[in-house]
Amino acid sequence: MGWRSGLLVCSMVLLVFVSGVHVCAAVSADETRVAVESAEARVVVCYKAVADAENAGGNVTELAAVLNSAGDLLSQAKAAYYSGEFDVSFELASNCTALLDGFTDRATALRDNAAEERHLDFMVNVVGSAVGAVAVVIAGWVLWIHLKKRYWNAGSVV
Amino acid sequence: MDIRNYQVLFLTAVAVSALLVASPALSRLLVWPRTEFFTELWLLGPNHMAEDYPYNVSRSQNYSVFLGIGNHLGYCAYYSVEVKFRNQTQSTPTSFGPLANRTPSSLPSLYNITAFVADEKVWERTLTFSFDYTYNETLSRVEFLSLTLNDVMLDLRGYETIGNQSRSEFAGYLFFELWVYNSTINNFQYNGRFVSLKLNMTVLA
Repeated sequence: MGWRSGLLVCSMVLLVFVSGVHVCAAVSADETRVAVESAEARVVVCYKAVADAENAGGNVTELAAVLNSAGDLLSQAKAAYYSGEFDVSFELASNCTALLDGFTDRATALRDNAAEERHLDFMVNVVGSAVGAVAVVIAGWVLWIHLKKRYWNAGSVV
Repeated sequence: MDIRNYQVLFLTAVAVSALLVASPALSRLLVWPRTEFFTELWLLGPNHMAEDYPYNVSRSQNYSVFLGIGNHLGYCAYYSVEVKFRNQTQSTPTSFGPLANRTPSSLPSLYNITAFVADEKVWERTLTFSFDYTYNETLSRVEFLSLTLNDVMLDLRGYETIGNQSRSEFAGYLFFELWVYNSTINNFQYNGRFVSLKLNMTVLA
């Protein structure tokens, strides 16, 4: 029984040690640099998607908040990289990238919705009201002609 | 009763009705175009006012200020605020004259704060910082070790500031340069604006 417990403890210690070595040696400076650059490029792509959505008339406040969180992680990742903390930097850069998963899809959906809403708004408020104003003028003119005709037919009495 | 007496009244009623119906379209067409596109950058003291800025700084003591950006560029902007530190003699950025002639400080950036700000929106962040430094009595200068900004430790080794004639002030300037991402060149450009905090590193006599 004693030697089995000993073996179990030794195995666990070895397992923990191996896991620890794996984590410590997992990330090199090059890998970290690639991760940080990748996160940076991802942030730029997402920013451009947000700018497009805003240009289409979408409210990008929520998306900008997510980008700001990602930007914070990216800044911290860069600072950690320059101070040689590659593990921390790699994790922060990975978190930044993970935070932006599916982000461009959301931004694109917002852009498309905003474009549709803008088109509808243009049709109702610009085209609709302009056509309505012309209709009011024409209706007024027709009504005036009609009233004048009735006036003359009734012998100058309305 | 002559109907011609009511002609003006009728025309006025029709014109007013037409204007009312056309008002949504007119409100979009008769808008004065925006002609000034710019960014605001500000630094406020710990009470969120333009007063009580930290000045006398003690070693490892925390101080807070508010850094803010107001976007009036006409589009959602991607800003990078470069945090830099200098003494009295080191390179300072410029913020006057034509935008193209304004230059950032040549000193390296210690940290960059990113901010995405939608058009006509404001971004603000609390910055908590502390300095770690030593006083070299022989050379009468303060030698910096690190700056901790919002829990991120930044290396300041190699930075130093010499005391003034009476040795009562060891000035250092913590400053924040505003850079904005230019999608055309796919890079950041100095926006010609910076805010600076003059600090006196107190030393024990």
